[in-house]
Amino acid sequence: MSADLIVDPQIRFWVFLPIVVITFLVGILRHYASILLSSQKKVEMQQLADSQLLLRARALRENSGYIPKNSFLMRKQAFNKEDGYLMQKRPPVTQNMMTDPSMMTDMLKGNLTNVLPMIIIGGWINWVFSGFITTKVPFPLTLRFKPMLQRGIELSHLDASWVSSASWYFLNVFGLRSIYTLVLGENNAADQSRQMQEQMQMTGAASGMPADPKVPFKAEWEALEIMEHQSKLFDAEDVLQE
Amino acid sequence: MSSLKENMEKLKLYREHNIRYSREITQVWNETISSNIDNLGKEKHIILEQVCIAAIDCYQLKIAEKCIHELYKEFPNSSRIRILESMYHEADENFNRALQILNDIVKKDITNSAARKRKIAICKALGRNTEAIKELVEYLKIFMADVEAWQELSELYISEHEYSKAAFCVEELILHNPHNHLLHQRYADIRYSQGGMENIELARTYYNQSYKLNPKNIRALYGSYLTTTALLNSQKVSGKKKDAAVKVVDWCLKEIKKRYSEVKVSEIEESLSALEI
Amino acid sequence: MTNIKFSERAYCKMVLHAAKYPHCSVNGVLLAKTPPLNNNKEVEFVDVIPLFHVCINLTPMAEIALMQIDAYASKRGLIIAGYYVAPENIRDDSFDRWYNRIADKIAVNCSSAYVVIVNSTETGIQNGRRMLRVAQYTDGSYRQCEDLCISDDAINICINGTNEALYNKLVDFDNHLDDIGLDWTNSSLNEDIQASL
Repeated sequence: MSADLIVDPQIRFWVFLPIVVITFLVGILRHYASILLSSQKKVEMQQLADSQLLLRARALRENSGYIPKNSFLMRKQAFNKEDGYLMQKRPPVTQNMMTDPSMMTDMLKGNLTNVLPMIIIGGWINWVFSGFITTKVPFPLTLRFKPMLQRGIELSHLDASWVSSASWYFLNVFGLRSIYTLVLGENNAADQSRQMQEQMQMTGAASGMPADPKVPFKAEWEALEIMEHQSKLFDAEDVLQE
Repeated sequence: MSSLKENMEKLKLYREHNIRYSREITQVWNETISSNIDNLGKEKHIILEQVCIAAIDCYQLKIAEKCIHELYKEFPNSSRIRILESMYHEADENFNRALQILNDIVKKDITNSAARKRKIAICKALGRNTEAIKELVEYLKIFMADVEAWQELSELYISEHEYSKAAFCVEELILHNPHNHLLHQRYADIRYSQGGMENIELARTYYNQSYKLNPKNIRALYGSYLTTTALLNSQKVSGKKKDAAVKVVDWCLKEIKKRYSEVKVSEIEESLSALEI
Repeated sequence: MTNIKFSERAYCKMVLHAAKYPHCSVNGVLLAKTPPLNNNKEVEFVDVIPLFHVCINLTPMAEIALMQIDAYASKRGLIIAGYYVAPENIRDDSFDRWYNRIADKIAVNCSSAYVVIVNSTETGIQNGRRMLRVAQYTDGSYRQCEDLCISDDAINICINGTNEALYNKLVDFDNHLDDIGLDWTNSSLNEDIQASL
């Protein structure tokens, strides 16, 4: 089945390459647009202090084996006692996505720069380049891939390796991610899959935490509470053993 | 006379390794960079910042002023450059003006850690070490994971002979960088300076740790020798432990001799005889 | 009052050590020929061994250094008779502030030990000023000595030394511990200073 179909070479110039170029250029445009539209996220002092506190607690848990036992116990107490660092009360944070204005604008901007162009251009490509296959993936695939890779083509006999133009566009959107890293450097806004990942999890890096600190505080408190000190230092006499 | 490119490479090396060769940097500026500011490309601003700090370090305030001026052209409202300006005033001993700028920055952006640290540096410059320590401790209550600040605090405590507090700070550093042989060695140095059998035993463990992490650390080797000898002399060890300790001392001396013989400095070998007990 | 004399070698090496690390406090020990007695009219510091520029209040490496310097000095008929420190802050010139256990150790072995504070600045060096404060250290107390004798040759060598960056040749004990191939006795620098006389 696979060697039977001969693809018109004109497709190569007029469909295959243009889709790649369009995706690439749109990605770069998106990157610069998001830089222009992005607002500086203001970090609250308390959030900053809390995230630093959590970093310190985590360092303590991970590397306590390298400090003397008494030092570890002293710090564990400082963190976990009645009015210790991890037992500090914090005002409850309501996580209301709709009413928080700054979150709304952030979400709107995110949608505008990412989802909207993808939908528009995907639809346009589907309309312009409809009705023919664009390319073929070099390895055989099962039938389950057909609906994914052959958007717009309703042929049940067609080998699943053949890809339609709309699907080729979506493949490009995700595939060109590493090219963007090369061209635009790390941390670029055209990196869509990373952005989708970030929307899933709340990254609690040192820059600030939008979420309620009570949950990670409790988690650290418990982890520290059950921890026993295990010295990872080499034994004093071991210095002789090379 | 090196070319512009070579000098830029040199400056990049100093930046990456955080080397404080301020005299060399100002020399490089005078040689090539000052006449080629617009040819520096992407590195222009970071080089200007680097040269500015080096010039302030060498009290070459005209160079610093020029750099700050160039930087302000590009970033007129940057707090990072305002901090450079405050350092400029600090170098000129115009501490009030410097503090005014820094207080202003902190008022506008309460989370700015660099401005707070410069204020502590000014306390130190005025010789008010105890005040600097107090401010730094307050700073660390908020920015608990700032490794640079813990390092500075440990050095301040050492200069005030407060060894136990300095040890606490170095423990924090070890928690963040557990495989750095210099930290373990510094910790051992502090514990040894504190004195007392318990601390000397702790020092011994940490010298050995440091040596294991980096066998080239001769301070760790010397430290191992010192602590084990001290323990032997204290007569608190007996029996098997004593024999093991004697073996360690012998091994240390042998290793030290080996290191020195590899280098072949004749005058020093004779003074090593002082170590034989 | 005892007359304190600094040889060219001793004075220059102290000043060059301070000039090499202007951003650090540096310290070192002074070697003298005759063990100075309390009623002796003159003390001459013949040489200086620069010790540390990092964390000068830590003792283990100081002990190692003193052991080695002791052996070195006795072979040459010298004795460790003084301790010098160049504070990182030039306004710091109180003797109590710069107390160090090394001074105690020296006082144990030598009946009258001296502590020197070096407060040199580049302009001071260029202007030929003598920027030392010397005190005799006995039983934890300091008695300042005003009678200092530093030759003009020493001053000139310092001026040339800072102009030509001669301090880059100086090796202190910290440099030696970083790379044991470096000679903490500074024999080649000593020759250079001798040649400039």
